[in-house]
This record gives sequence, C-alpha cells and structure tokens, in this order.
Amino acid sequence: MKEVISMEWLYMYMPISGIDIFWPGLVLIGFSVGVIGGFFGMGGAWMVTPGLNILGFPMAFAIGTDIAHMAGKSMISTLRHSKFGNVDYKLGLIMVVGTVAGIQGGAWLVMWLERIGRVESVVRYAYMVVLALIALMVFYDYYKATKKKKAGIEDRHGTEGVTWYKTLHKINIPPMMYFKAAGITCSAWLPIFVSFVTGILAGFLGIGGGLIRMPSLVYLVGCPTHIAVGTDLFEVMISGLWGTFTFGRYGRIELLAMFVMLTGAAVGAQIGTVATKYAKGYGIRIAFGLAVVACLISVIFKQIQWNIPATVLILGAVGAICLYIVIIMVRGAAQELREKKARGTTA
Amino acid sequence: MPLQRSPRQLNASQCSQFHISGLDYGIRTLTRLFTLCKEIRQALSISSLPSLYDSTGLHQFSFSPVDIRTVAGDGTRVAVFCWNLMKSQDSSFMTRRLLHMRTIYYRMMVFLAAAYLLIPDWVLAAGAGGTELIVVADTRRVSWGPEKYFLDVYNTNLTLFGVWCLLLTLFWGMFLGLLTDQIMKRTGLDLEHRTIVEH
Repeated sequence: MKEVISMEWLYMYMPISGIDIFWPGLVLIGFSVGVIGGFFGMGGAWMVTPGLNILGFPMAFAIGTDIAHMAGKSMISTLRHSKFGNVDYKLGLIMVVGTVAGIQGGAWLVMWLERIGRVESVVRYAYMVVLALIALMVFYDYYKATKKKKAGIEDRHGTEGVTWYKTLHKINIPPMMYFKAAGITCSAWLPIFVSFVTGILAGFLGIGGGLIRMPSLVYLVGCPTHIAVGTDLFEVMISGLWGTFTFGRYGRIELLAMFVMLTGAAVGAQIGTVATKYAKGYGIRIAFGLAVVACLISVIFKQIQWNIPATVLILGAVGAICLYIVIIMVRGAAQELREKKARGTTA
Repeated sequence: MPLQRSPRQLNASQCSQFHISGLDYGIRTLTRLFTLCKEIRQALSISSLPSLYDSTGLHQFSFSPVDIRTVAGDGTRVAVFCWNLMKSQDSSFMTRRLLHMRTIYYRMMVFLAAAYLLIPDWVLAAGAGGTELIVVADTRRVSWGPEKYFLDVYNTNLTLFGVWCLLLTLFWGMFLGLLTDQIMKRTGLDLEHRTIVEH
C-alpha cells in the first residue's frame, strides 16, 4: 500500500545542489511568475528567489537558477510585447550598458558575501529595505494621482501622480536622445545611471532588476507604464542572459530546475503579457504595489522564523495576483471577441 | 592651524600653543582615558591639560591622553592625545550638541554595518577557513547521457558550463516563445494593437 501511494515521482533530484525538489512546485512558480512578470514587466525574481529558497534551494543556487529562468521567460514576454509596440529598443539597449556593469558588481558582492558567510541575512535585509521603499513610492504615486484627477489635472496619457521625470528631463548633459516608442527626450546619462544602480541591486539581490527598473522607468525616466513594462522585459532579458553566464561561470545554476520552471513560465508569460492590453497603467501599478507589500511581509516572516506563515502568504499572494491577472485577460479577451463577432455580424 | 584629526602627537610645550579651527573630536573608551590621564600628567609634570575653543567659540575641547611614548634617540617623552568635546558657554549648545549626537549615531550605524560585513573577512583572511567554496555535482545518481555530460562540464570547466547555460537558456526560451506565440495566434485576438491609458 505504501508503494502505491508513494510520492517519490513528485520529487526530482538536483545533482548540482544535491537536493530533491518538489518539481510541480517549480512548474507552478514558473507559471505564476510568468503571468506576473509578463504583466508587471519584470523577471519576478523577487518571488522566485524566496520561493526556491522555500522549496529547499540554498540561497546562492536560488539566485543563479532564478536569473537563468528569468532570462528565458523575459525572452518570451518580450517577443509578445514587441508586437504590441511596447518595447523601446533604443532605450533598452542604452540601459544595457549600465545594467551589465552593475550586475557584474552585484555578482562579485554576492560571491564575497557567500565567502564570509553572510549572504543569506544580508540579501534578506536588503530585500526588505528595497521592497518597503518601492511599495511606499507606488502608493504615494497613486494617492497623488487620485488627488490630481479630482482636481482635473491631466498629463500625456491621463492623470499621473509622481512626475519626477519632468525635473530629470531638464538635465541637459549631452548626448540628448529622443526615444520614439516611449515618446521622451532626455540625456542619455539618465537611463544609463538608472540602469547602473538597478544593475548593482539586480546582481546583488539575484533579481533581473525589473522590480526596481520598472518603477524607475516610469518615475525617473518618464516612460508610460505599458512601454516601461515592455522595455523593462527586454532589458531583463539581456541582463538575465548576462547574469546566466556570470552565475553559470560561478557554478551557481541548477540547469534542470531552470528547464522545468521555464516550461511553466512560457504559458504564464503569454497570459500576463496579453493581459496588459486590457489594463490601465494604474491598474498595473497598484497590483504591483500590493504584490511588493505581500513579498515584503513574507520576507519579514521568514526573517523571524515564521516559515509557514511566510510560505502561505507568498503563495497566497502570488495565487491571488495571478488570478486577478487571468481574470483581466479572460474578461478583456472575451469582450474583444464579442465585439469582433458583433462587427462581423453587422458587416 | 589647519584642522587635525586625532590622535595626534604633542609634547607638553606644544600643548598650550595649540588652537583648533574647526570641530573635531575622537571617541575613546572612558576607562582607557581615566587610566592614562593620571599617568601622563605625572610623566609630563603638568597639573592640567589645556582646554581650547573652536573658531566660533561655541565648542570647548580638551585633550584626552590616550598613550605615552618615548621617541627613539633623544629620549623625549611624547603624549598622544585626542580631542574631546566637553561643554560650551553658549546657551544653544544643547541643540547643537543633539545635532552632533545624530551625526555620531549615523557614524556608529555605518561603523556597525561595516563591522558586520568586514570582521568575518578579516577573520577568514587570518586563517585557513577563507578558501573559496567549491561545489561538486554528484553524478552517481545520474544515468542519462546529456545530463551526465553537463555535470561533467560543471565539474571540470565552469566557464564552458557558463556558456552552455547561456546557450541552453536562449534555445529553450526561444523555442517555447515561438511555440506559445503560435498557440496565442489561434485565439483570434488582436495581438498587435493596444491603447495606453494611465488613470
């Protein structure tokens, strides 16, 4: 009887990290992060790294494996977003310069922290600070946008709350550049600087940088939310590929886990990306803010050894956000198909 | 005289001529100061150490001895001092002092954070425990050829493993992307146009 109900087939041996992993968990993480990443325009490592850690991966392997999976997933999302015209390739390529340099620095930092035995705690504390700041910024932005809307103030694509980019666009350090898809003109040094800082954090925290770069593109560079999402995914793809090579060279990637996760992520990425078509910019921003808060609380729980509540919270939040995005996608698609059918009937 | 950071070597005759043009002070443990103070005063044959004011007159300093040394050759005894913020005649001193305390607090926080990160490195540098962490893939439980090949590459040539990681990620991502794209096209949705609305 014990043989019949054996659950061994649900576990896959990871020969590099030397552990048995619950592989449906990897598929589920891949799918969920594919949906969320495609919708928010990021790799989703801020969920995957703790997620992999919860499944049993050591932190250094969780970071490396996650970066590799993220690169592949972002490729899938970028292909789809580019067809919507959501990717500013010129802006993305310029940002690569700063990102690559930054990620290299971040990877050195991780290796050094691993050597001195501080990687787990430092990465977790840094996570908390970064997540708290991002969440605060997003909700402050929404509060300000709501006030502006009541006052009847409108910007390029409707009401915007935080518009720090307007001040930063006044910096006239040459070369000045026009980014067609984003519809902005600014000094080339602005996106380079932003990407350098986000690159360091990306390499250090084991994230693609999208978590920081997406809001940075919106608030500091001045991209509309949808363009920020698409451009950021392009950027995550390139930085993720570089990160894959870097972490691979350090021997911190579990290839088998990457393949399994990417398979789930491919389906999720399509759903998340198409859902952006049916969402307003602030719909994306607020959902993003809520996701960040959930992640922050789970990391705090983890820090104080509340492992089960942390797991429940992060999985619950990921599930809820996934569901929210899938509902947006299904409703929007159904509406579109109904309208298309009605037009066909009228014609 | 330009601002000098403590500790600084002064002999007894120089002490009375010394003036401070800016705010500077050293942080030393009280125990060490009290222990050394008496010894150095006796050694230098002076009744008290001089107190000084900065150029604004708001802050009063005294020298706290932290060490006493004999200079080689002529046998001159030299005291090593650090600046200490003591008190002021100014009525708004406490407000200013609190601001300085905040600065000290920030410095202490930075110091503690740096110590948290640096001390293990110093300790490891001093012993054999600081060697690089080496992970070896266990091929004993793996029988499938390609998987075994990649694990051997992992164990023998990490740079090549990095290149393989990059290529396999590219290949698998591109393959799945094109596959799922074809599936999405069959849904009948317009996947090439969208309208941007922020709020």
